Amino acid sequence: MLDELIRKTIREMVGGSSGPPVAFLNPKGDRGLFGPESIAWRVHADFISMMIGGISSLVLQALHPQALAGVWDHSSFRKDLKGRLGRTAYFIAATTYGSHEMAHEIIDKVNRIHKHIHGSDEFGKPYIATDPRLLAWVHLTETLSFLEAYQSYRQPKLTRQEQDQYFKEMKVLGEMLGAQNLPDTLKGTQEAIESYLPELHYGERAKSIIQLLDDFPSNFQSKPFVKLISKAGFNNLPSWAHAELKKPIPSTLEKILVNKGIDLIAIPIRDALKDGVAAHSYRRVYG
Amino acid sequence: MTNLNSSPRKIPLFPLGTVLFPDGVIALKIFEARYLDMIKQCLREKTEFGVVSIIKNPNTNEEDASLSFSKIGTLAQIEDFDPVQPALYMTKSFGTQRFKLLSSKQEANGLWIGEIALLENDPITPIPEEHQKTSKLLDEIISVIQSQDLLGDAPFKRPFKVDDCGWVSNRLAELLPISLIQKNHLLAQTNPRIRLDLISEIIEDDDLRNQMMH
Repeated sequence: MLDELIRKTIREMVGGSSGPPVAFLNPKGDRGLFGPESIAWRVHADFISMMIGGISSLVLQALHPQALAGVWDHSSFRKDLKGRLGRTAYFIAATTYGSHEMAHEIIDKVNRIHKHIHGSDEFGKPYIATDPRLLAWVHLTETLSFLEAYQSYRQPKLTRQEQDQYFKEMKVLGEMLGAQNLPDTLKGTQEAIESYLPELHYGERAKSIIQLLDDFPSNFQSKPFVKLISKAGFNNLPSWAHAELKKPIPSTLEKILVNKGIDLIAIPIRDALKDGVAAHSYRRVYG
Repeated sequence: MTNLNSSPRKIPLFPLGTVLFPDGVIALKIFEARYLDMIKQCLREKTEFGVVSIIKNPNTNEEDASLSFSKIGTLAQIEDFDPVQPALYMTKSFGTQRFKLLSSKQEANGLWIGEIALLENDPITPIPEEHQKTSKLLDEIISVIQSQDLLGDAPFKRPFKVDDCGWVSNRLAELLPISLIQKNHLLAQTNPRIRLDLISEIIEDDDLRNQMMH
């Protein structure tokens, strides 16, 4: 009963299809882009951290006028946030756990779509979605957000070396999508993100995206749960981002309390989701 | 329940490595003979037992365990009792009222009996402005647990008095990473408003210390 409610909420949240992810069972022995020993497999398997990191990366991405313009002009993001989150979740699942074929198929598809996306941002500055600097921004903010969420909400935490390993692995994926010379360490990633600070802008468009995320929980039957996850997503932002958003930096007490709240619901959620994509992919590789 | 004018009374003690706060929930697995007897007696006579903390002090004489008992404890009322085996009880109790431990003496079966004086319950105190955000967050966490039907396993018990300093500070003291010694100081603090202030100070100070160390 509880399991079903959680599964339903999560399916609803990411707009995914129902039923077990059998597409990940074949072809037998195919290790995909990263393999089961990778840190990417470990981090991306934790659904709670991924939801939290997903929210913070959307906030960060919205702060870049050109990255935002691409989404603003060419995606159903504003009308269908659930659908967009679902497609992102599928992209991550397919590239992390899918067979080589499944991973390459979705990467090629995204690259093809990006080719047609261009226009002007809210300041009239032209952009193209294949711009390596914009692709890098999306990659950097996403990987840092996922990793930070994992480190805050999952035990045991990754060692420094394992954290660097995560960026090294994900660099391969980012570069397949057209980003260039991505960093392969945590420090390198943080520095690369900070090099974008002068370009960021919290204008009307970004504000409406934040508003969209703030209102997001009210679309759900399990509104309190989604609200707590969303709050955790905002707490997961780097401190410069709170200043940029003109929001107070959450106090340590607030952060710890949200963390405790997530802990209290994490066990049944993780349990309900244990036979998901990662579990099916292990079966593909090891039989 | 507040009966402060009565002379000191005697209650069985359950010394633990934790703190029970009023309205807090404590799940205990009982298997030692002295505590199996204690629980049976409490159930039979509808009485409470006292939870005190064991605070290790390197300077105290190891011979006398009672020297390490906290001076303030909380009465525990058994709410749930499941005798899974004749010598294994799963129990759930909740804290009712704080007491001052005046003296303690060990009986032949090993059970400690404390002589106690009850302490006044917290006066109802509204949440001051600076702590509104925290109490709201606590309220939200409780809503999540309720909406996901997890209350049975959660450390919260109705009624949820999220607009009362005493209740909120006690729940925060249980949830947050605070040392046993500090938790005991919090339990001993009779002003719930000050208790709430102290909790934020402890957490922010710890954070500052961590930042300085790294």
